[in-house]
Amino acid sequence: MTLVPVLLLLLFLVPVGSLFVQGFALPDDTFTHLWNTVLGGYVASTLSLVALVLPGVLVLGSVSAWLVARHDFPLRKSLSWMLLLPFASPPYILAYVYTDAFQGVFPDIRSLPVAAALFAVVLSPYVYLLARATFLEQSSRLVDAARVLGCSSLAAFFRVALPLARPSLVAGAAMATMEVVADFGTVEYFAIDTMSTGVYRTWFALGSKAGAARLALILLACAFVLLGIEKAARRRARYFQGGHATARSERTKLSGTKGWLATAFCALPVVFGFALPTALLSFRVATEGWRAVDASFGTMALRSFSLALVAGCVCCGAGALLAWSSRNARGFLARAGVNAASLGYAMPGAVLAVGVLFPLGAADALVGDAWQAVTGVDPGLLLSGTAGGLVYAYAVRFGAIPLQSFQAALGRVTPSLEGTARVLGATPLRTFLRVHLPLTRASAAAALVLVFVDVVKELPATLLLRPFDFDTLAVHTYHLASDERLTAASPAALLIMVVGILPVIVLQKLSQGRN
Amino acid sequence: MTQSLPSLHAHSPGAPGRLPLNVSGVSHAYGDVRTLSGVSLHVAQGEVVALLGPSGCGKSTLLRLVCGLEPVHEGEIALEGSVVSSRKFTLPPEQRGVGLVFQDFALFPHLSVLENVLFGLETRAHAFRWLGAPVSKSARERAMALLARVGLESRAESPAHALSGGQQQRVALARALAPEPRLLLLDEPFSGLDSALRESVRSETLEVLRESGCAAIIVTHDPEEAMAIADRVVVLNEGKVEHDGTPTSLYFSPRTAFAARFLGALNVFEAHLERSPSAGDDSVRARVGNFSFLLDASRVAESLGAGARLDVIVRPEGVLLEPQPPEGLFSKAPSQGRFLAQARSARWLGHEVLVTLDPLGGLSRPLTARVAGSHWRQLFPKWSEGLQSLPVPVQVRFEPGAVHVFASALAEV
Repeated sequence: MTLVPVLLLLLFLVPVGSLFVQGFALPDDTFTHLWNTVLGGYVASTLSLVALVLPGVLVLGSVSAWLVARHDFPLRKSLSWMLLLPFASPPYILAYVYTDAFQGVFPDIRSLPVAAALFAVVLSPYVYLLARATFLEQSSRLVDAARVLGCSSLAAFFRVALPLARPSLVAGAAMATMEVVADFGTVEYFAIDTMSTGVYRTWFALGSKAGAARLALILLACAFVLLGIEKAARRRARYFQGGHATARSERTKLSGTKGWLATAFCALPVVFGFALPTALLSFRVATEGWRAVDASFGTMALRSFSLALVAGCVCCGAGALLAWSSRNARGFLARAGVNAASLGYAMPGAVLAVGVLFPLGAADALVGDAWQAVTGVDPGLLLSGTAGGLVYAYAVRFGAIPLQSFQAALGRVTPSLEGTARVLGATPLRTFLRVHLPLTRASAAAALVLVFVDVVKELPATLLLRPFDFDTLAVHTYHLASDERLTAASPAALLIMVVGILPVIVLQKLSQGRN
Repeated sequence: MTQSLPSLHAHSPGAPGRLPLNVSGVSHAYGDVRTLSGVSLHVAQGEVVALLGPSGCGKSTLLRLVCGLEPVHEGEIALEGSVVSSRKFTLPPEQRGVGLVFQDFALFPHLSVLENVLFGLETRAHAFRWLGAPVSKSARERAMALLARVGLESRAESPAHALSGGQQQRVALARALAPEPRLLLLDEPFSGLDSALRESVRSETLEVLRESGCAAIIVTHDPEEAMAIADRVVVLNEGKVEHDGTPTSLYFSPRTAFAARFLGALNVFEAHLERSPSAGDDSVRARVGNFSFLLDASRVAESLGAGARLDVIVRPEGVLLEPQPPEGLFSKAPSQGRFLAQARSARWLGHEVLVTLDPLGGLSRPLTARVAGSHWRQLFPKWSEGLQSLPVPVQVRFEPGAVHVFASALAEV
């Protein structure tokens, strides 16, 4: 059983390995050239972006989570789930929409601070979701204890609630930062030269695969560091839990102006991260954009969704397999397989694309030559530039989602549950079908939805790896928006936003179930 | 050991202005569920009051009201004469100077033991409270002294979550006492400890409380605990006060049937009041079936007339067993106040025997008697050798002091 995690581990590691091979196998001057010229700029831009986004994401996410979890104010119940809606908006679509709408008023709208503001609004749900769960689970007795000992409500927040939530905040902030570092569409549109765009430029404009690979490796290193921070923070968060459950949900009532201020603050991410862009896009579609909806649009959308569905099933299958096999197998290799999947999630799309192209091409060459030797026919490209290659990339990138989901679900099937089934006479297969499968069904469905939507939204890897004349909704939007044809792009963009609501529903159901 | 305090009876609270706590007519509800109805009680200087009652009776709610964590719906709460809670106004908890020890201790897991104890001192010490100012030397000394008093000064730097249950309880106590509160509230502070530990932690806690001279309310659902530690016991049930008095008064003259039953009385039955002047003494008797027994006249309300229905509660230790008189001398009718019963089972508890009696004289239910081991062995010398077979007939009478009667409130019993 240890064979399966090992195989999967290898599959996940192939892109990383290929980056090393591409980067260092052949001598290349491009990288030195980059180092002397633009690399510093790339790094500086990326860092400035992160430096601006972090406080925004932390303040928006944690304060709204604190308000929603522990207080009562107008529209709190609706805002509680609506604050997840920015998850539905890919940042690049927001970039297109806002630029189009406001560049008349703010001609310099395409700038780093605006990009940072966009990221902060769109990525705040990462911090919000984790912080809200922490604040809800945190024993309200701790805050009560602080107040009885002399802290005002505000002081209790800073001295007790916030420090206890810090690990969750760090985890959420790390995930948000990973997204910022990995982003391609938004920064490219805003003409900000980050590491991510640098990889593409080096690949295409400079034509240097090796240089691009080395850049990608640097980017990958950053992502891995962030992943390490996130995992460490999550482990620490478990320390601070295990308090006794809140007896009654004792909420502080905010009345009058205080209440409405709270509502306004919580509404900020919802409005700017989802409501306003959707409204603007809908307006576009309703006035002119609907003309772009024709048969080819339908075909493209269908193709997009089928690809996402296939990728989702493959991911879930791989994730389930890995979760199942590593559950029983102990030891280093089993855990390594699991960790490798998580690392795949941290890989920026650009890095993944660069890492995947090389082995796919090599595999093609190998198989093609062998085939030709046997049959005398040149089969052409089998993997690279096909949907298969794309699905492989998606599996590496998003495999961690179903993996974690299945691990959590299987974790709920305790050894005693399994043992009971076996003692009652069920074979391992029967146990799987009658015990494990029903209990993990909900997690499987949730994971499928999450992967599906993530694939629909994915841009950088898809751009590089997609088959010829195969546009997904995201790529289609990107091309049209780059040509300043937002009206033509609006139906596709709106469709992506609408599809993006699905994971919000899933997330809300999941967090409700946990409560 | 206990300080000599003026034992304030519920009806004469003395000077309300000087009382650390005075609760008058407080009512509260969570939504539609009434938690407290017209509760009044007080705590005197340096007094330890036990708030006793079953789960859900409102005791923890009352604590939260006194702390200011919940507003009152009706009535008033006053601390040292000044009203802190009323229908129109609730002083925030941080301004009340009341200490609270939670049932689950609620230590701050991200702080060390010493930092936990210092927490209340820091907040008062500095103007910029919300920043958590650096601590003064005197505050530190006081915190360390308190930790030493509870025997934990060696663990001062440990993280709070690393301590055992008993240790956490002691830190929680030290933390609550550090800011010198004018009233200390303890919410079932010993229920989270295993029974072996409970006794010692309880007596230590009481010692620390007495030394500090702080007035305190201890909430508990264990009657034995309440009687062991408190100067006064207030029994609460479904949001109402059932009894308010010394432990002795609760034991010997409980004000309501519930209060009596809550102490663990097990023998409950109905009877009729029968005032029969017999042999000239104005004795008061009750009758059930063909069995009549003597009552303590002082316990029977004057207003009850002959034939009134009564709820009778007899404590197991008041069910007295006597050997059955030899067959011939036993008159057909049971002698005054005595009746025959069959001792069906006897469980040896060490120093006591728990006997179940099937009564033969008019009572429909079996009785439970607690008999001193020595007395039982007197009655049945062959018992310890295992040669005594059951059931065996005995004579039973009730000790008047152990009989509590209440006018029958139909729903109660």
